[in-house]
Amino acid sequence: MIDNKWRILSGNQINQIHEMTLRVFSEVGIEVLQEKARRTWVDLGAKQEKDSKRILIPPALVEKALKTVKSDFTCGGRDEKNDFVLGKGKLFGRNGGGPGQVIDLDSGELRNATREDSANYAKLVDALPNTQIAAPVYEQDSKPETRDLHTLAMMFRNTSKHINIRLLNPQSLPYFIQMAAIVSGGEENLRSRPLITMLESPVAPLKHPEVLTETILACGKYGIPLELCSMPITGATGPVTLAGSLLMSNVEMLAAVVFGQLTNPGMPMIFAPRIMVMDMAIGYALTGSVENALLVTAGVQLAKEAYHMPVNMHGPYTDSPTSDCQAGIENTYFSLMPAIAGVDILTGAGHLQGGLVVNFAQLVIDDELVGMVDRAREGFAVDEEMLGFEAVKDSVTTGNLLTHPHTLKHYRDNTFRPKLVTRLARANWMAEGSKTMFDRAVDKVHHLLVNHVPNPLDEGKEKQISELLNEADKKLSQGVN
Amino acid sequence: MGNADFAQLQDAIYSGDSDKSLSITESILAEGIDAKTILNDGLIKGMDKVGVDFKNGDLFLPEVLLAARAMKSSMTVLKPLLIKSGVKSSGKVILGTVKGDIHDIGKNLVGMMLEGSGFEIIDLGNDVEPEIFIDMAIKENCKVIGMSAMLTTTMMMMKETIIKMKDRGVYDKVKVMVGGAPVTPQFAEEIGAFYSANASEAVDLAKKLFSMQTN
Ligand code: B12
Repeated sequence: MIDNKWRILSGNQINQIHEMTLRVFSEVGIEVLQEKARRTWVDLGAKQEKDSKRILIPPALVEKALKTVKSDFTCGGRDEKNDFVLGKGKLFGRNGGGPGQVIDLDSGELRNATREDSANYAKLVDALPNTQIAAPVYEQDSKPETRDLHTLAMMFRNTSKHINIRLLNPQSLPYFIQMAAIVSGGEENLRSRPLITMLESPVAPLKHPEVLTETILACGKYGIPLELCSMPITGATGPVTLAGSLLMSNVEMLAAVVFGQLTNPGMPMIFAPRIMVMDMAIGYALTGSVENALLVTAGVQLAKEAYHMPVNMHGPYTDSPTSDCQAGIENTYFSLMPAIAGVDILTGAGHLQGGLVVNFAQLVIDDELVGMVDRAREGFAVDEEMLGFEAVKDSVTTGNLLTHPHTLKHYRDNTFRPKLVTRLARANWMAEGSKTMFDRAVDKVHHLLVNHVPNPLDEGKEKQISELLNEADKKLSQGVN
Repeated sequence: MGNADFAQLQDAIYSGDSDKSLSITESILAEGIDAKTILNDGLIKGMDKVGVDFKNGDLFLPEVLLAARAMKSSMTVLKPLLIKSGVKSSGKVILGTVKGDIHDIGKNLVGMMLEGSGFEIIDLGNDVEPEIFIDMAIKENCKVIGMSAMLTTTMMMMKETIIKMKDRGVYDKVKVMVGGAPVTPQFAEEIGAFYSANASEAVDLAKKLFSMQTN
């Protein structure tokens, strides 16, 4: 990777943010909504404010927790060839997850996601070269109470890559872990090569809901990586200034890191301060503005320089409702900036409109973008050999260098070749139907959905998963009124 | 007294100066002008101007909220008088984020904007059961209910709430407005509700819904 990472914050500024975080910890604290968790905090050495749910965290606890934080760890795929180590300088792509709506590729209309969409989304990720982590679109066909579980099963069936998923229903938590353990072939395997990363969020301003506490504890217990994502909105649930909301987000997440590390030292965690920027002229929370891009870049620095943790940031996360030039522009700076700062995972491929909808063709486009960004941050080598003095000297006599030994030695060094851009002469491009990048992406989606066959899930495991789903359907759908 | 006072009051509202709007309101009242005239020619006119400039992008959200606060402070002295003289408020709106959903930032914004435009808000908070909406509508004889949802799952609660309203014979007496990022105009129509995309449009919508009912 390029030696000089892009830094928009100075070391001094990072210290200031950290120091201020400690001050908020000791003077304002975090509102911990679960009583049991408050007791745990107190047992760990934090103070509970009188007659309130606020937990004040002394600096010593933070210091202790930061000692056990892991800077890198393995993430597993159902197929071992998809395993990777996070936090060692390699860039990974993760598609956008969460929405329940897709843009229909044939009609161009927005519609609810079906079970088939949910399967196809995972299948596409499985096929794409630069998206190593799969996140879901939630099909709207199944019952809400167990939708997250059915979605996870659908993902296990359709991709053998690492999966990133969050709960829709807190009661699904034990079933998530059971299902992951089934696919891993037992809890021990799950621990050594976790097949899923879970994602959970504090609630701005400064709250830790019960589902966050429970997820931290469960992930810690089973060694499942936990991505902590906090999303204060500037001027609404966080200070209006970029620095202020960065601080807010840092407080919310660092508190979760401290809780996790003190309850299960060394548990794998991923930092994800994903602040949204409010457009004060209309009252929307943005994900794709230039200010958002500055914030994710600063967030990378905090994670890496202050806490030495793997970091996952929004990359392609445009506000545009459609796959247009705006989507292209926003996704580009939004991916490039954190990438050059050293981000580990870029999240959002396939998202439109701030993560509210998914477009499969956009996924294919963004996958290519992440590849380009990855290539960009590789940089290029400069040394005696690469400078090619001989080639420069010989060019005077040979006129061109197409068959010069230096050319022959290095012309294949660049292994990255984008597949979706066109480099054709106009006439040839027209002969191929004058297709835009979006048209080509749609073609590619159709092609992949027909031709890509994911490595199938073992029949025995499939059976166990079906049984687990049946059980969950019975148990979880009952109690809900 | 005269137009000059109203112009000043409108200015105070527009610039979000709560103290000033209150003191001007009091002094106009002292001159013997009735509360209804002050409300219409001072406060509402001031807020209308705020609304127009916000839509044009000349004013930002915090300015609108300050204006709303100024309006509210004037209303503290006007409201008792309005009630006494039998003038109805421009309308009571029940607001809530539906059951299963805790996203409330958008709903809160809508509430503040509505309040600023003279509506009375009954905010039920988030994760609100259908029955609670309905009980409150009956209790307060409320004509407009606003529901917010940010999850495709909880959008279905909007539908369910409306079905329950029908069961309990409330639906005919109220208009329902819905919003939240995943909600679409088509969905709103399907379930028998009215849609608006953001907080300032919600104000126009609420006005429309109340005018539909007086006709
Ligand atoms: C902040 C946020 C949260 C916060 C909420 C804090 C809070 N107090 O509200 C937290 C972290 C708690 C949260 C939790 C979850 N969230 Co969330 N969240 C968001 C986020 C980032 C911003 C939402 C927001 O506040 N926007 C700003 C406001 C001002 O905009 P708005 O709500 O759209 O409101 C405007 C209009 O819609 C309209 N409006 C709104 N309500 C109404 C009502 C009426 C009557 C009218 C007329 C108009 C109207 O006017 C408003 C002002 O202009 C969105 C992403 C996004 N791009 O929107 C995800 C998002 C909504 N969340 C999502 C999800 C999946 C979740 C969780 C399920 C995840 C989880 N497991 O934790 C939970 C659900 C918890 C629950 N049971 O509700 C998904 C939803 C996907 C979907 N559509 O189904 C989104 C889209 C993110 C994603 N891609 O995954 N979330």
